[in-house]
Amino acid sequence: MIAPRTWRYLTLGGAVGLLSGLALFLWPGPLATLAGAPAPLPKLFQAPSYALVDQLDRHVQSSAFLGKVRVVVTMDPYCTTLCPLTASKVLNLEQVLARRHLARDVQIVAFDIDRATGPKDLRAFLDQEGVNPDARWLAYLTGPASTVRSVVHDGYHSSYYSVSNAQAEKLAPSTFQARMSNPVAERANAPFAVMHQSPLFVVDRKGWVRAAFGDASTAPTAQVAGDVARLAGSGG
Amino acid sequence: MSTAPRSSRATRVAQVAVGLFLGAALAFVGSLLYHGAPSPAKVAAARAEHGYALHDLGAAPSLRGLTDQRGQPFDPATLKGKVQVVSFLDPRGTRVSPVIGVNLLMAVENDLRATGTFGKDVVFVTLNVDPQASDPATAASFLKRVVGFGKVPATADQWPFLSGSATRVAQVVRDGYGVPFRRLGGAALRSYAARRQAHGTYFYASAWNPLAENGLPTVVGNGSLVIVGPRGHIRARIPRAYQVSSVAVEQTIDAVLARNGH
Repeated sequence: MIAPRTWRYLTLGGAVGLLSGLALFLWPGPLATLAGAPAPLPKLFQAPSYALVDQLDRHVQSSAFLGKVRVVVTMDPYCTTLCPLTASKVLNLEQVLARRHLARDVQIVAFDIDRATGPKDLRAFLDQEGVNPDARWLAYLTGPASTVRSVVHDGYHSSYYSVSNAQAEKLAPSTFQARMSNPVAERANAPFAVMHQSPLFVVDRKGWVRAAFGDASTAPTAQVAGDVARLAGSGG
Repeated sequence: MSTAPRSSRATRVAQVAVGLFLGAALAFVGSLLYHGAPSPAKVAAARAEHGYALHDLGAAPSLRGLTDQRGQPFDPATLKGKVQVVSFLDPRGTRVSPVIGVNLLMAVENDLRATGTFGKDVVFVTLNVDPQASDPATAASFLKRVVGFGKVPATADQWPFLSGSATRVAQVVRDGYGVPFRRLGGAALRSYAARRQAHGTYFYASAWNPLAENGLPTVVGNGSLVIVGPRGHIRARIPRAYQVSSVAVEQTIDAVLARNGH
């Protein structure tokens, strides 16, 4: 038989232990990781700052997105390989984020990496791929080629370069990228093609890149949404 | 005067300490349960890094009674002892079929050729999921024109593209491999698209395919890949293969090969 006083001390210790234990094991950190929580997303690098225009020809500064978790991709409206797949990924991701009530916390940002295009092409490409060009959740940004290069190439470390259409045809079998239908590109009939990577980045509210996927089209939607949820939830 | 209170204090401290320990242990177990729940993000991360988990999902179906892209009866004995990467493509498709064929299978094939395993330890097997609209010659043309960019990507021994009667193909693909493909058109296709869009799993893009024909029903639900081990058992099912990296598939193949002493 345990005396009532003993119960009191056991209960007091148990309550303090339970509360402090829960705080330590649930709070993101080493002890939480020990208790099975995924490790915190690393801070990879600081996302670059910029001033560009969006698909509706509005001036946009990167500071406007501070406080939001960002999903960052690149898309060329004249691309006939990966970009339509990236657009498809972005649409599905937006739907998944909305279902998880994260839409308000997130801004999807796409950079146009084709020097020959402008806001009109961006709108046409979005419309063609099933994205409402007026949608607020997506900022599809373009601007002077040098500015975009400093953001995408220097800031996000994603390379791209122009080649003639003949060179692009030659390279096609070795890039393992299916040819996608893109009427906007067909109408434009540009004399060159942009060879590019198609990464996807997740940026936290303070502008740190916290996750990077080499190919947006194969980045698991659930994993990206999970990363966004963690960053949105942790205030990171 | 001094022994009794000291002993009583020590007892109280011990009781509180035991309580603290029990509380912390309970919190730890609770956290394990909380964090340990398999969220889709965790599952996806594990897949992306380590390939797909291997299981014994039963014997793969017999491929007897099917015809390869040369129009010759297929001999399933040629697959014995090899890992099979099985896909389900529509030769006239403009949705996932070209993307799986090029972005995934050609990338995997390229890496397997570099290690000398393609055709020797690992073969690709593709089932034609629209045999009503595409005969073996169309399957061969799809491989050459769409997947191989004008060049035949592999021999019929290394990569058989199998056609058959609609009934036989459905039996093999749906019942045998567990891939629930369907041909849809009109309102049924629109309803399917709306459901997938709402769930964030719709394939919006459209691929170039010179073999495509207007007015044909669209094949849906054929985006999976199945990995069959050397003893003919299904070891992994990879859903939505059109958005899976070649690395994840190669790691799965490597794991199957490693388990069989390669």
